Amino acid sequence: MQPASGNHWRIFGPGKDEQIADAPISVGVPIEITGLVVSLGARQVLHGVDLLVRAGEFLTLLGPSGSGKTTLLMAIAGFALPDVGDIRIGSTDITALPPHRRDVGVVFQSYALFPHMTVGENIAYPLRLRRTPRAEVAARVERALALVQLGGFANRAVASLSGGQRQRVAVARAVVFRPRVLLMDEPLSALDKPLREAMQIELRGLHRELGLTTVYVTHDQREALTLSDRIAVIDNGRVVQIGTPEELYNRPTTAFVARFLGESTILPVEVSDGAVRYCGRPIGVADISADEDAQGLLIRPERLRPLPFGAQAPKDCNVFRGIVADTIFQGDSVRIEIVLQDGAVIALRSQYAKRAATPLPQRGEPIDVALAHEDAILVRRNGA
Amino acid sequence: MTSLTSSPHLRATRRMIQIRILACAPALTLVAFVLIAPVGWLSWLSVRDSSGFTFRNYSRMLVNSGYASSLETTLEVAALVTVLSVVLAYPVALLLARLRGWQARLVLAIVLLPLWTSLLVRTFAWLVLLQRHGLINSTLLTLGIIDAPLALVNNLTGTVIGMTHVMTPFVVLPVTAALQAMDPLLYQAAQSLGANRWRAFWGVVFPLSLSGVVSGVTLVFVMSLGFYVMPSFLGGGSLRMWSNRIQTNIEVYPDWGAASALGVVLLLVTAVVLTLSGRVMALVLVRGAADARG
Amino acid sequence: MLGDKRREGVGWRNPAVWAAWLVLAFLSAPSLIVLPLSFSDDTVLRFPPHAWSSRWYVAFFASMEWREAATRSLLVATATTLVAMPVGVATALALRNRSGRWENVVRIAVLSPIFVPGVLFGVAVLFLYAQLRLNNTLLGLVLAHSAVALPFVTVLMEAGAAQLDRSLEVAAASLGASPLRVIATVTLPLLRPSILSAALFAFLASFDEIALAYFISSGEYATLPRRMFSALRDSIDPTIAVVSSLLIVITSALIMLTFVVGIGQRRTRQTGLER
Repeated sequence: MQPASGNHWRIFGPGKDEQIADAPISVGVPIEITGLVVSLGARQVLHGVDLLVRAGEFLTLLGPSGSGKTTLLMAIAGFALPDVGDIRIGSTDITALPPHRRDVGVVFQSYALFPHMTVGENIAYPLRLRRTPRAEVAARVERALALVQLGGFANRAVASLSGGQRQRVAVARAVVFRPRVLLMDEPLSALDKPLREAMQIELRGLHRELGLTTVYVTHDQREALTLSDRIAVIDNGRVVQIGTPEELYNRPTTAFVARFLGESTILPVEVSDGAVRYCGRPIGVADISADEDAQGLLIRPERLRPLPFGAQAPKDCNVFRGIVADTIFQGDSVRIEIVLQDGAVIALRSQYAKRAATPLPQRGEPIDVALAHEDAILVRRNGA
Repeated sequence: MTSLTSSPHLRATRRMIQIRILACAPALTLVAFVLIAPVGWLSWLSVRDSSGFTFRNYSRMLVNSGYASSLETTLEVAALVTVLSVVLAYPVALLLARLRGWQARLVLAIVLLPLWTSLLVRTFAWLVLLQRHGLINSTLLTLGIIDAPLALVNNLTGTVIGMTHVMTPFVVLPVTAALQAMDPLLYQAAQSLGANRWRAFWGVVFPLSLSGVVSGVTLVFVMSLGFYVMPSFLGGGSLRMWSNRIQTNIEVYPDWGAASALGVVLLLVTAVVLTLSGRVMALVLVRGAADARG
Repeated sequence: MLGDKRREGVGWRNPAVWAAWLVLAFLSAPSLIVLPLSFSDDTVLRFPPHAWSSRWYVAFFASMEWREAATRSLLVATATTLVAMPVGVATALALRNRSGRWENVVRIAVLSPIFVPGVLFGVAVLFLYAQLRLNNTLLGLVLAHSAVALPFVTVLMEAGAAQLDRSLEVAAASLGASPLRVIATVTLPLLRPSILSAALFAFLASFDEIALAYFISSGEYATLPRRMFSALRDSIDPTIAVVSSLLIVITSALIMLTFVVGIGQRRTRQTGLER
């Protein structure tokens, strides 16, 4: 396998018009989706989606089942046809193009490898459709297999492969014909955990290698955080928020996004005249957003710090006082559930490193916790 | 820009519909040409003669008592064959539904084999077996079970035996399918609740297989109505089924009007049977769903 | 655990199993009678035969009438298969997985040859062909038999196509295959076992067909079943046993063949669905 270089397409050998020693070719093209409305049968699934996927970026569509993320992916692939709206790949408007003319590579959840063909024939399939000369086909198939660490597997039968191997063949098949865009529909969901995490790292490496614009669908937030340049959170057929993993995690705009990525507690607060109040008490927040509907205070469990009893409140921190309801040991961390004065329950997560240093809070003990102003985020409560 | 009226969705859907219609066209044309049109034409003929409209062909049936008895015989034969087929088919279906792998395939092959043996071969075989000096009579005589040969052929008995032999596989298949679709745990559950094997069968297994039984019964009954080749050999001269009357009207006379009228009546009887069966099937399925919901 | 219970149900202690095997014997025995009969030396049908010889086999192969009839049947059956298969496969693919009102109407229409009484079908076709002068012609027979074979082909292909993993066809399209290419390179190859079964059933449906052939083929244009009908009616001699035996052996061999082929193919189809 060739090391990553400026000329990414060297993996597949030079094309007709390429020169080996040239400057980097721009790989990957942007995808522009405007006002997309898609119905499946009588039911409208996507309600006017606008999305721009930048050239070469790895964008994940993250959402619960039924949110429409797969439909959006299939719309780009050409299998879900829009009622209204446009899709452009690069400078080409593909909205009216049938799937077989869109030149996109798709990796399906079930891999969809052709059982009546060998591994090599599966990968050669798109090349043969494009009338690639036979010698070149063989070479490119072998290089694609090498790319996914399956060199020499060309003559194997699909039935003899493990799940992980099939997944890789599916990827190889989807990229061998140099598509402009790569689409992946929960490709790792059928694998067990350790294999899935290993494959995530590999996919990440693959993306860096190839530089293809990739749209990835998953409901697993950890997967989304691991793989993506940006994440678009989808709910009920709409893009709720889009941004880098850090942005979405640290600055979610709605409770839905906050709950989907990481643990969270949302407390209802009142925002008026530029001040935030919880149960009448003033709360310092990271910034008062311009969003009038942001009436929830997001508390990430790992951002709460327990205060030693009687200690002074640190600077720029909000302090909450409550009673410990439960202490749960979870291996690398401890989760402490705290009931506040007004009955709300918040959670604190502590990386419990040293045993004897501080004893764990017991049930019924009073406890003070501090939340830095900069960690107090305002979000929309109902998640829309 | 795409708009709602000419969205890719609508256009592609419309295109798919056109392609599908095109794909079905040859089949529909063939069946329309070979079957539907001629039968329709023939039905038209049944009320026409050289001088215009006539109901002569139908009134003849009401006047002449021979027609009524033919219809009776036909229905009787069909009913007998149907009942016997179900009784014979059921144990085989039970066995087939419980077997797996190569054993299941073997039994299935034995069931299907007579289906694909030529009808005439089977007719011939039964003629040989049921004759006065045939295998069955000789065996029974030798064993001393009977004193004189039984008249097993050239009558209703022979016809029913032969037709049952043909029809039984047609019941085995749908009943097997229905039994296989049944949750095998239900039978065990019934037994664990105290029902003996017999009651577990009648209370649980049989009702759930009813949809298959109804399919099989319909198929066999309808096919029996139109059967004429085997009855003409095994029934001898004494059995006048409706289909044989049609055959005679064409071969011997040939009276198109009369034959087509007979055919129309047969078609109507078939249609009635199919409609009834449809109703029963709907009932069975609804009952089954209701029982399942408890 | 469930497997044990199941095997208990098929054991010899269960009276229903005895009944089942008796019925199976009933179903297969008569056809088997025919085989020894074909080697009888008598001129009359008697079972068991008094003496054995293969004279009737010689007589059969020597008879031009029988050879012609056999050839005709083979020809018609082959042509029927070649007509009914594409028509039926196309219809099955168009109808699969859809049960709208129109789809069901088409299904009923295509299945009608089974539900229309055989004698009426025969008379109707005779009448039509009398007007079109298609009686006793190859074309007439092939068209009529294709209509008879069509329901079998369509049902078998629809059943096979319903089990197909749709995602494979979607994947093929995403890789650049036009709808026709998808059918040619993915759908049909995966349907190979169904196609073989359907072709076999179409062939046999035509080869064994008598209800229509009785009316529309006769004399020197007779098909094999038609010839057998005449032989049965006019002169029952063991030649019929010979024809019957040959038919049984050939048909059984073909059926066994589908089962063997079916075993091999089932595995490949399943791997499309496995993870």
